[in-house]
Amino acid sequence: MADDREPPPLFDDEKPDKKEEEDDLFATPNEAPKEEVKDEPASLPTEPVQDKASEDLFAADDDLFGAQNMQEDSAAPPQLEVVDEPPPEMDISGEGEEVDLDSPETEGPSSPAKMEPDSDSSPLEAPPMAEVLPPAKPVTEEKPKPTPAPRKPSMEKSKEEVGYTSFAQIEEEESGDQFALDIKVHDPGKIGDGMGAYMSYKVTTQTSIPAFRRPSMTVTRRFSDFLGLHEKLSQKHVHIGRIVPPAPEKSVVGMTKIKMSKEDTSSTEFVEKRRALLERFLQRISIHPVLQMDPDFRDFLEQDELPRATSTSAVSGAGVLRLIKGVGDTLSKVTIKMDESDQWFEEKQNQVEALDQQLKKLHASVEALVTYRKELGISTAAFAKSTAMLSNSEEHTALSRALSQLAEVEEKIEQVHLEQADNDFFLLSELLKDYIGIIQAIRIVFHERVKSFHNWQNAQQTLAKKREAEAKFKQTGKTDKIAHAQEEIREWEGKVEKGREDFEEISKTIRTEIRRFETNRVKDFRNIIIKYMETLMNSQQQLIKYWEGFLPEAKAIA
Amino acid sequence: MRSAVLYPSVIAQEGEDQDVPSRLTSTKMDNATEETNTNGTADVSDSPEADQDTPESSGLPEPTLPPKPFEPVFTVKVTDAAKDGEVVKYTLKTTKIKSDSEEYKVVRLYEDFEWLEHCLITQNDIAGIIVPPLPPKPSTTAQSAEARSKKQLGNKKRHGSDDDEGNDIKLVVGDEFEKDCRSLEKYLYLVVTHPILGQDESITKFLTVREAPTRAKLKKSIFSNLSKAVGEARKGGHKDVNEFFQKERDTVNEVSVQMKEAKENFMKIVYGEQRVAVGLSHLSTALHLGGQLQEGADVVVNKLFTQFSEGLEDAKQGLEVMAVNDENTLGFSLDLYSRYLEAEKEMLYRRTCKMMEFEAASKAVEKAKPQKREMVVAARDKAEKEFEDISKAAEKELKNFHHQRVLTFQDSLVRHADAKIKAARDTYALLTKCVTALKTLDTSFKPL
Repeated sequence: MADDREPPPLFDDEKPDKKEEEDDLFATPNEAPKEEVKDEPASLPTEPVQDKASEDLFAADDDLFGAQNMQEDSAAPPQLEVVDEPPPEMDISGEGEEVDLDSPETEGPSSPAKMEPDSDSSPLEAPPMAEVLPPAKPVTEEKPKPTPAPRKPSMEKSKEEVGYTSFAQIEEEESGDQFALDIKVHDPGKIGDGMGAYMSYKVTTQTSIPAFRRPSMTVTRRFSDFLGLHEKLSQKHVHIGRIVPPAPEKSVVGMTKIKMSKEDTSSTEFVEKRRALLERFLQRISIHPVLQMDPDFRDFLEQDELPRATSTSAVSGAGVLRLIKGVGDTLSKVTIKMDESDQWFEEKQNQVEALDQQLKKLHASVEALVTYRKELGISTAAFAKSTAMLSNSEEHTALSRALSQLAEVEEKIEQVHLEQADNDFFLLSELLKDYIGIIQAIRIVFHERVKSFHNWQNAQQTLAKKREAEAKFKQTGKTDKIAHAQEEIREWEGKVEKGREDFEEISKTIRTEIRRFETNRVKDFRNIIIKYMETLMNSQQQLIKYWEGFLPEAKAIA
Repeated sequence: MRSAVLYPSVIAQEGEDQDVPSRLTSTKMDNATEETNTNGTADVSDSPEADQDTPESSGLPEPTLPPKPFEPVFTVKVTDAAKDGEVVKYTLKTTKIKSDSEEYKVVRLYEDFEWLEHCLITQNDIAGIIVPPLPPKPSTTAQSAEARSKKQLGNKKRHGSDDDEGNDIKLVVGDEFEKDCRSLEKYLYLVVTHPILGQDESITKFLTVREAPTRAKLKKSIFSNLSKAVGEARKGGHKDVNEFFQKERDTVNEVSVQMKEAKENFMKIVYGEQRVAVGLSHLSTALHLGGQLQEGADVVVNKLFTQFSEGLEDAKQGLEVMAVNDENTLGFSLDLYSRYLEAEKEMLYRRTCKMMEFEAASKAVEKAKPQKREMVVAARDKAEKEFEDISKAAEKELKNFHHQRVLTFQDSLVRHADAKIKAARDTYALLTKCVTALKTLDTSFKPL
């Protein structure tokens, strides 16, 4: 199973091999490219490579967004321009490095071709290469963000995993070496008792981003902290068109069970589901070029104590305000219509809606599958018991032994079924649910754009009114009011201009975000599907193993 | 990469090749070789072999002749089941073991089988015989098909199984002719290879004469079943004089219940496998539904989904094959012996009755007044002889029965495991191909 997941991009011949040796390559690539780059400061194509090599993906991003300069190894600031290629995520960068090592020259000429920020052929997998190299495009705003999420599955790990493998684990592996932000949520624990009880989670971060105080840290957080983080990020980013990963769902039923039960191990499935969800939530934030640099996010990861996010509670004052705002938004969604002049947005919205439908159907199918598989596991267990009983009553020794062995085999197979059901769930079902949530976030962002348009229109209308008023004053000779009116006109002209700018800004941002979303979507689905298929294969292997073990016993009966 | 025919023997079910993996040829044939060995070693006294070639009334076995191993005359295959209106017609192909050229082909209805069973029971002294159980009548009506489907596939509304208006499309399990043929074939095999029943002219006529024997209406009175049940309950607990038989009775009571339960649970596994297969199939179909989106990333995702969907189909087929195999191997034996153990119970019950008669007759002798003494003693002697006869016959039967049972289960278990291994290996190979295809899929796309 040691293959690369990435479909071989343009220069794929060596990739597959390279992939396997990635870990080894990390060390060396860092040196080589850097040297190359340093020699030719002017050669843009190689610079990004250097950035990658230095694994300062974030550094690059920072520069792009004008945040602090966090580059440790990278060359001088002038590289900022180059960096606007969003540092490809882990595996990609890894790949990029490999490719660089092999054929740096090939990249040069070919890259510019690929490097169309908005260009069509930004192959997902090869992006690091393509995008990074010909950063020539001064695409500061329109980064073609083919920043695939760090989904490089590590082969070794997938081999080990016999049980269900969480989405998080895939991410971890991928983030492991190349990505500068690796987040894990682990060790859920119940704090307190009764109605005031809650679950706490440890959040461990490994990072090479200088902005963080330490390269690695662990903090304890509770669920409402995560919600608080989402709240803060939403407030800052949603209205300018950034897709913020959806907040983890509250579950009254699940939490009540936890609160009320005495033992620690109650509803482990619920807890595990939530832990994995929180982890994915943080990881999705961490791969977003802008959100990952958000100070609130940083605080969340490194501050020992966070102020209690009381405003996330449904019954708090803030909660009520949210409710009202939500209602208002819903109404405005219905009432505000916008003449879509940009075909792209109309098509995208339709596409997103169609996708939503599809995902919901798939999700329903997967849930049914999980149920069936669990039932199969239960039936297998029941049969194992019956077989054991038959074995006890059987007088023929060899047959009795064989029956007893059969009972054992069936018990093991029950485990196989249950594990596979877990995989069905944790890989497929949760992925689909995540994306349904993300689509909701996308809808919100589209709506923000409509609101922005509306604001702009309102400003224009107000300006027109002010101009009319001024004209009337001039006509009626109320000169004293004219000056004031002209002031207002200037004010509103400014607002109109700002409204237009904001609208264009948000439109641009959304385009970028959507592209990023698409790229991530392809990557996510590809990786999860492959991972899932591999679990199916694993199940078969286990079946083979157990039945082959049983066969000699059966043959030895008589 | 999808093999057109995944498991050839599953998909192309010829009449003769009933079972899925090529190794699962009709169980009867293999059993025949085993069983003949069994019968060879069992000392069953019978009329000389020469007599068996010509159909004649066999009558009772002659215990006084030197025991000659019984060899079955015929091998039978139930090659076909065809529905003619509401009635199912079974085609039987019989060959004489001694001379392959003699072949017979007849068509029989289930009612003919019932008549055969009736004749066998009434025309032989079956006291000490464990009578092979006739499989229950296969149900062919629409309601029974639906009931079967509900049982197998579950009641739940299956997602994705809606037609355009959102109506629930019922998946109905088809008639299980394969299974029925095999069960009937096994029944005939058990009769034909039985030292006593195999010589009965009823079975010979049944197999060789073109026209079905005329049947008298069989009255299955409720009363007889009821009184039988009551009798069993009352006398079944009567302590045995013989330790061997007591143990046998205790064991069979325990095991027959367990065997039934095991069979039920096993069938639940088979249904469970089929349901998961259905689930996989629905998911696979749902993955195709997004086909209309043809832009940018969707193209790639659709490619992924299509490949994924193929992989799921492979997994589904693997499961379906496993379900069929399970039913044909272990499932078959569990089902057979659930019923066969009942036959054993009945035989033991008959013996218990005889035993009680004998005990009663003995008591009567003790109490008899001199003038009646002779008669009572004669009655007691008769009862004693009958009891001894039945015990002797029963002992032999039991020995054969258990030996056959062990062999049958061994065979089933081996085949069961073999079939599982093969199916898992095949599925694994297909899944590997799928994963490779997924990994090498070009996921580049043109962001819009």
